[in-house]
Amino acid sequence: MTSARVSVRNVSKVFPRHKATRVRGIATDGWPALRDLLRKTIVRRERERARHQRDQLWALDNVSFDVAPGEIVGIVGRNGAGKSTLLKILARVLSPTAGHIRIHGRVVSMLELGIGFAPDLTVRQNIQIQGRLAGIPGKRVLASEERILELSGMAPFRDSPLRLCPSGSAVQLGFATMMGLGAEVVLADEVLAVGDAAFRRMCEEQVEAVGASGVSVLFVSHDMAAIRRICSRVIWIDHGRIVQIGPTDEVVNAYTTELLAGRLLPPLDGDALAASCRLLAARLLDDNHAPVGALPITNAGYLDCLVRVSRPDVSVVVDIDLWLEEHHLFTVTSPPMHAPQATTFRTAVRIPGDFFNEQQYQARFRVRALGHLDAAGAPTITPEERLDFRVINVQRQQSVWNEWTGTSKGFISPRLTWRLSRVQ
Amino acid sequence: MSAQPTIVIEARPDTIGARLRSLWQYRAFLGFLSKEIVMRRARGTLLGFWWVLLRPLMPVVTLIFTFTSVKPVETSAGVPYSVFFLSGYITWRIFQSALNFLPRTMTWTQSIMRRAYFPRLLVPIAGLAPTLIEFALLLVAFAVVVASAWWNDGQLPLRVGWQMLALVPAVIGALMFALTIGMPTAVVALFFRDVRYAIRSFAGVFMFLTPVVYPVTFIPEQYRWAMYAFNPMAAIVELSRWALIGGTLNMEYLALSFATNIVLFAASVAFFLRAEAYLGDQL
Repeated sequence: MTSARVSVRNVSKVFPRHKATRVRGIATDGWPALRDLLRKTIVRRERERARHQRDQLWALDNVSFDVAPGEIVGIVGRNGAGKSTLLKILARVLSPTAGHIRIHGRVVSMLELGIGFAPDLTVRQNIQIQGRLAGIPGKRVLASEERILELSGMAPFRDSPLRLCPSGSAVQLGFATMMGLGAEVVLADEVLAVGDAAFRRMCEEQVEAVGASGVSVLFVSHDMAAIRRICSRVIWIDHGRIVQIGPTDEVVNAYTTELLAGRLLPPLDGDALAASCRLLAARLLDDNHAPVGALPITNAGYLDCLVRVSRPDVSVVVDIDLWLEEHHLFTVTSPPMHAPQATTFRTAVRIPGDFFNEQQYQARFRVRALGHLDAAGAPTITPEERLDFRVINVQRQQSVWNEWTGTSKGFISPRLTWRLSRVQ
Repeated sequence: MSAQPTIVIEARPDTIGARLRSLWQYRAFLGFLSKEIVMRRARGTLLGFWWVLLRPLMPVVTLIFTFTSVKPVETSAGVPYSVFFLSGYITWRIFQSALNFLPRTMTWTQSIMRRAYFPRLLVPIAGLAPTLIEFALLLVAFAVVVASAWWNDGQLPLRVGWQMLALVPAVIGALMFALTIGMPTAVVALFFRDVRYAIRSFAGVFMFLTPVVYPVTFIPEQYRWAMYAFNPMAAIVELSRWALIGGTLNMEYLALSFATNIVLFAASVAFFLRAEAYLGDQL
């Protein structure tokens, strides 16, 4: 207990979730948010849990752990799991709703990418400010300045304003400052998400180096390979709770298995569409019809959905638009569905193996009533349901990228047949 | 290792004492914040920093011109109107200018607050920096006006003496009242931009409820107490005028006014310190 550098005990964080109201036609959550702030500051009434439960988001729920000196702890979890909230609380940018934290030593943090702290100030002044914020005396900051400049490769720019430096270098500077200042605790949120391979390698080496010198690092990343390389222990958070905490390989394996099993899909909300037809669920299934969140590139899968048709006089189809980032790749339409009484249909389109590329795709499902036009003369369509899924390349040798080195480019990567013949 | 500071983060907000202590610990950060706020205005403008100098001078010229040439005001203070006006206006301007900047300071420094911890109270304090620059500038303008009046009339329109030190409490009082109004509005401005516009119009109207362009004798004797009780700026402007050009000063009204000021200031600081803990959620 006393040997811990950082000890977190029963920390919870509740965000009030404010419904946006419309004021003079402009949607705003200003009123409820302000009312909430005033209630807490002036009236100081304790939160009425029962009444407000529905409007609360438990970003962190009773989280406890310790970090020893020199330990590099990775924090993993899907988006919105509470990882960043945890770091922000440790950095005192947010205050916890419950629990307490004890940190022995000074803390430097890089919470949002692009340090861009004071773009008008010079590189050296930016380093000074970071040092001051961490509570490190000016003299010590000056002493470590050279090392930071060297690490970030910003030495030639030392006296030029940050905004005139190459854009990627602000991140490098932020990272180098964090590592070079000599604080006891380092909080890093997704620092590896940007930068080229050389920078990422530099980051990893630095993290390991400071860890070896007794600095504790808390490190949030989605890059499991990096986590495996540098972390000695991993905390897996989901829905604000610690799912698992332990040795890196054990936790990362459990996390990736869960990620692939698709149980981490975004929850479908029962959209109150009181129309004749309704999309109940949209899922990605693997070859064996089990729900998944990602699909290996060589395997076939299904985009599956449940449709409720509640009137005998309508006939509906499901349109699925496939998107990659901002590109609409294609649209497929299901066969028509109709029944004499209210019926729930299941329909799925088969995605062949060796078709999609190693990318993050989005399938947008819509139900369209055939032959029914709304008042404006447009076909009746339900709001679209969006399903994000990833295609991953686990066995490169068996994929179409076998003979390829470098990144796998392209919207899709179908396996097509070639004809080859000798003409002379 | 035991020499390292220990940071304890609790769910309930720190005590006021702890908060003021951390204000002192982070004092080095004040310079940076002030500079950011001063330069923020200049960013992307052609005249840059010169706006800080230009803005307060423009109303001075118009108001002096209006009340000497267009509709002369009788001040009965025995000094030229320009000297009479500026002797109160320099202090009034502290309030007006601070109300101009303070509501915006929180939004300006939002990205810094999202990235790092420092006592948020430093933001409104640093927000006074452009105001203090304007004040220094108006002092120079006042000196010029006094010198030219001296040149024209052959006598110094100032009352030189110890009472001039009363300018210090007047300035402090004006800064306090500016923070009193400015801190809560800066918090609310994070939710609604409207307050920024509202507060500026409010300051413009408020000036005419304060004896700045006219002497306090314009207000009937039986209503004056109300002005002093509800408008701390009235006594502050009067004190500043008394410090520079002399005249009469009603000590009871002055005390009443400063008492109001101090009570409101304490309430405003308390509100800000309590709100501080919840501000993070809104950034």
